[in-house]
Amino acid sequence: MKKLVYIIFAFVLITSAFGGLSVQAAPVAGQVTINYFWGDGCPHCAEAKPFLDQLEKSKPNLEIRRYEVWGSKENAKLLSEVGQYLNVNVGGVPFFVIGDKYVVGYGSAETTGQQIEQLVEMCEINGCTDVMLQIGVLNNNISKPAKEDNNLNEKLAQHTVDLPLFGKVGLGSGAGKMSLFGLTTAIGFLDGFNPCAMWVLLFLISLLLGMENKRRRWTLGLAFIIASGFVYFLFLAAWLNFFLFVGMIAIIRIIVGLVAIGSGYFSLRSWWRHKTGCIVEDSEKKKKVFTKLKNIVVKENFWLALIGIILLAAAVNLIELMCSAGLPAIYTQVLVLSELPTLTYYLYLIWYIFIFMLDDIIVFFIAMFTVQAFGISSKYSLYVKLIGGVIILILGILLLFKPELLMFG
Amino acid sequence: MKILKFGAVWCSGCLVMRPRWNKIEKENEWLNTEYFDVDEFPEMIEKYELKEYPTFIFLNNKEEEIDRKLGEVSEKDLLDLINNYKDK
Repeated sequence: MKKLVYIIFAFVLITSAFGGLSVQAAPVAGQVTINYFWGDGCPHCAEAKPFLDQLEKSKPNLEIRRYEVWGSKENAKLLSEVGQYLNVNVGGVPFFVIGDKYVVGYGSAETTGQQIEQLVEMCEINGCTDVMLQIGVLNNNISKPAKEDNNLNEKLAQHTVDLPLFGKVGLGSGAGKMSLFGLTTAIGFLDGFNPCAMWVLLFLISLLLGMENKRRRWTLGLAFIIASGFVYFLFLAAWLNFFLFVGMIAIIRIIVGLVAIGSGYFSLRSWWRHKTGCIVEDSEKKKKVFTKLKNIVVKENFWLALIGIILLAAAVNLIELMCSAGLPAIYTQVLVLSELPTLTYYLYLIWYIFIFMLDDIIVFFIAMFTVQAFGISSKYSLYVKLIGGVIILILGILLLFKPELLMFG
Repeated sequence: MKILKFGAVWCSGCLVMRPRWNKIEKENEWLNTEYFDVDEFPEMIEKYELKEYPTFIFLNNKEEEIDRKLGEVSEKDLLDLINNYKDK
């Protein structure tokens, strides 16, 4: 019963953290408009017609506004205005405007058609502003909802509270950006409290504590921690670039969403079972690592020992990547959905790594200062499993059904 | 009564339990305890069918197992167990 109360409390707290995001994205997500400029008698426009008709049929939330520009001076003027707004020299038709992106010309359904479909899908997930609203072409009936939402946002912004870790939480725009920071911290913690990564460090500490040379002790330990963090950073960066490369493909988002639900479930199950011990498994693998560590640490040549420890840290972390249960993939997928500037992506990754390594850093520093092996009580990792599990579960559900709520950018 | 303690240097929970046992043993000098690092005594894993570390096995004076605790155990719980089994 007590455990259920904990779960409900964590859900309420965390869903309130996500609550602010819905208001931010809701006004523009879902409904998509293509402003399509075409010419009567233009062969490529004729080729585009069946594709557009089919697309309109398959997407009930899609509106295609067709503007014929060769026979209508008014529409030609409008095309010129749109071109000016988008800062593009509009030399011909067909010209498609989706949100603030455009496509010139039409080849086939497989090439240009796919490009258009991807932009439409991005708008479905992300939400897009209609360029016609921006240049004030459409009448007040269409403009109204945005205005109302702005007022609503202002009202809701008054109900935003500042929570430690999660930042500005509540309703209204502005909550989102801070929440991505909180989300990074929470997933980094959950990932970092993974026991797989800790056992090698603890064994290394036990060897280092037997050493006379204090400087060597510190250098080798820190080299191990930094090398481990660097390998994990590369791993996260690889996931990030993979998602940036493939773009916002629905199937990838769904797979990552399912992985997140599975990962959240396992995390909560582990918390529920209240396991605080280390499982007896794969002792042969451990023995090999122990032997290598021992051989490296006792090397007389300091530089050989340093290089050895860095290489071993890289190797062990690569092997243990499977332990992460998809958390890096889930996190980087959410980052990509947020469409941030490149530098911001990497700053978030660095923060994630810092949080991920924090337990290792604490354990190492305490052991070095007290000259005694130190372990973090598993009761803390149980809290992290509960909170992290709930967050990952919610992320998974949102990735599947409401990805637009995860647009922090 | 005798208490067998099983752990490993790489196991965080075992390190957490170390100072707790040190305190209990210091305050109860009559206690008969023995620690086994499972990497140094791998045969103990099979002998006592260990599934998790740390594990604490309570033996009676005939060396028969009367109880076992897994994972992190609070100092109070350990003292309660010791008081329960001290005459066994």
